[in-house]
Amino acid sequence: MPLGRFDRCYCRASRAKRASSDATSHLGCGAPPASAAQRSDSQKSPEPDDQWTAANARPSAVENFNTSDLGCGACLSAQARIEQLRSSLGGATRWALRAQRAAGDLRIRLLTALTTTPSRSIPPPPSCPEFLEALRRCALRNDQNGPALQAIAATILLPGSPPEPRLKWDNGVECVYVRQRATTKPVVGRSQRYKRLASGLKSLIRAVGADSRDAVRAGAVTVSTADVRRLRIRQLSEPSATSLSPEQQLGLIAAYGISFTGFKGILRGIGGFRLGLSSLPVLRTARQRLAGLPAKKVAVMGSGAHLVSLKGAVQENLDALWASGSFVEKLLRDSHLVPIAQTHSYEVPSIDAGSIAAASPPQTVKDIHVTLGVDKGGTPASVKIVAGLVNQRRPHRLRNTIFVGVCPSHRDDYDALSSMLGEHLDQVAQLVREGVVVGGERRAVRLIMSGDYEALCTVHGHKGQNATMACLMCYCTRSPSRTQAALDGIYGTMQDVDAPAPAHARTSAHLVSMAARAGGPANDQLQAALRSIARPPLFSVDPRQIVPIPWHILLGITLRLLRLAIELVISCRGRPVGSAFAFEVAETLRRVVRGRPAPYHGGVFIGRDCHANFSTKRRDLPRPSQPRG
Amino acid sequence: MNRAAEVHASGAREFRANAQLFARHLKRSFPWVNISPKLYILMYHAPDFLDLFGSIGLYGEQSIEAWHGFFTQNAAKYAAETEVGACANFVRALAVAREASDANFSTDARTPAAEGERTAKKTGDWRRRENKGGPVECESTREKAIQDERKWAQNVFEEGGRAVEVFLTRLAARVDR
Repeated sequence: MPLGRFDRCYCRASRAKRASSDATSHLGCGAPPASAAQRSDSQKSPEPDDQWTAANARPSAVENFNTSDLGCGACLSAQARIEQLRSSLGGATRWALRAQRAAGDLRIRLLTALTTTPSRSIPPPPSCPEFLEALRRCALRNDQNGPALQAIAATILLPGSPPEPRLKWDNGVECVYVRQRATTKPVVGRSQRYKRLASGLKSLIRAVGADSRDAVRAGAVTVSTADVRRLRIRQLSEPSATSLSPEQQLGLIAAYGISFTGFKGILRGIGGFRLGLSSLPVLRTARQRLAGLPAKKVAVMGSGAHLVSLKGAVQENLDALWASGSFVEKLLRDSHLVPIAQTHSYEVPSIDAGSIAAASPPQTVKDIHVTLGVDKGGTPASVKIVAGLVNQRRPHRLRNTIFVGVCPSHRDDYDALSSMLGEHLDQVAQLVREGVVVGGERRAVRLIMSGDYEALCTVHGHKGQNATMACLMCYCTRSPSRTQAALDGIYGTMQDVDAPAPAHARTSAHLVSMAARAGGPANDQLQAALRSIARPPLFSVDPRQIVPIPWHILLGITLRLLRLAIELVISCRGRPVGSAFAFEVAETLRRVVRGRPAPYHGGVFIGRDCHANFSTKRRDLPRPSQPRG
Repeated sequence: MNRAAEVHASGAREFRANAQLFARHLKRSFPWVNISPKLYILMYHAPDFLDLFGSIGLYGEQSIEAWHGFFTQNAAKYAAETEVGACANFVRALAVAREASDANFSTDARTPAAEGERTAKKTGDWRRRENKGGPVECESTREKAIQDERKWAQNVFEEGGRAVEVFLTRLAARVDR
């Protein structure tokens, strides 16, 4: 490598030159003074130069210098330097040749590129079927395409409501992937909690745009897994707006006894507006609108509060039942217990026809079954009048019945009941006579009287269960007696349990005749004519349509059987043992059965405790001990 | 009888036979028993009604009795200056509540559980009576219950004893004759 002025030999030559001030010794010792061109060449030689070519390279003086001409030792170092420079020159020459060759290639490629016309037609992207086909042939599965394929799959699957991905195999089987909701557990273990925390942290970093892990560790930022969970639930199960009308919402509020203030609090708490619940002004408007309807108008009379139009209320309920498809046909049965088809529509009878015929229409006439019940009870005591439509699935549900009226009264005798029901007698008569229109077809109304036995007797003007003819459905006497021996012989008595059926059923015609008497049945008439009907019946329905008081029968017979057990012990073991047994039975009922007799109605077992306990199976109950004695 | 559902023809026949058998057996086994109007209705008229209408419970007075409890529990919410005014508020509210009836507020009814599905089968089931635990009641309530129980037992005992005594007296008089 040429070292120039820093070369050791050069320095030595320079010192020799300075030592011999004259130029006389430049033939023998010391290096010959290089010309400016030579010095520049020697300095430029190690540096490549694009302008350097073999053609314009001039033979330097060094090449022509013959080392054999040197005779002294000092010249030997100059010779070595010449050799070194010569080898450097050879290397530079080879490098120059390579560079010249590369430049030639570049010039050829440039000219080729300039002369060749590039193809202007860009190949179109593959179509989706082609892409799918290539994907199936595994032509795209390599490390380079892997991330791109994952991105494509994520683009399809990750949006909020993606289409159902369908995958069709070669054998024709098509798989459909449906998104399923996965609810997040409210309470999870430590591992899952950490996973949720990490997920929340990742979401936070993505949202903030910086690594906030340190901030979380320092406590400056809190990542709550509850928020993450809530967001997910909201996304998965977005509540749908309710489709209830304001009137229906008002009905629910009234049915459950919620005040408007309470509803407002619920509305705010659960975000009711988002759920489609109505605001209070809307509900108040709906309430005013409902209050103006005839079927919902309420009149305050001297006896109590009553619905103004019972017929309107029945018609309204029937319309709702028919519109919702909840109307249930109720067919009567013949003597073979086969339902009788109702094939005829109801026709309103003429005014001259009696109303009792309409109360019990023919069995083939299309009808609806309406129960009307009267009963006294509750605290404070009041008489309730309730109508029910049996042509529905749950006729006993309170919301499905029609609360006709309530009268605060401690009396439910004939006079009181006649004044209470007097508001509705015309409505009932009109309802029975004209029928109702259900689904565009007129139907008869089959009125069925319900309630406790006392109220039923009072409504029908009957003397009650202690009368001679105590039964409301037949004419049998209560027990054989000398004074009514003739009636006993004709109609039979209740104590005759061997009879297959009552000999003489009570007829509606007799009730009508009793009701037709202006002043009511005379007390001096014979029992055979009165048949225990002391007052004009308020309703003259067919006695077969009087409900046989199933609930009161259950209460009465339950108490009677308990008393019968005590009577049996008294008759067999005597009174002291019977007394002890009675107290033991009472204690067993309180401690084991947990049913308490009511302090009224003869000590029947009514109340919530009896409802819950008496419905359990009998085998669960322990038996009282055997009476001793 | 109190089941609010349609009864099949075979069930109706069985009910008639059982009711009459029950009353006859009662009368023959306990001759002092007096067939009351309720027992008579159970024996004869309830089967007739069941044959004609296909159900007794659907037409029963259960809903009327339930209204008593509802009125007792909710009457205070509809207070007014007068008692009749409170009753009017009550009837108005219930007239509006008919808008939430099953017909207007149709919901999909839950299918009832199979027969015996909800019966307690294990000994430790909380539905069993012995596992429920007794109701929490104060001392005075318990004493009142004991008093009512003794009073009830005394009344029933006296009434039963009187019935037996009357029967035995009549029987003795008949034998003397």
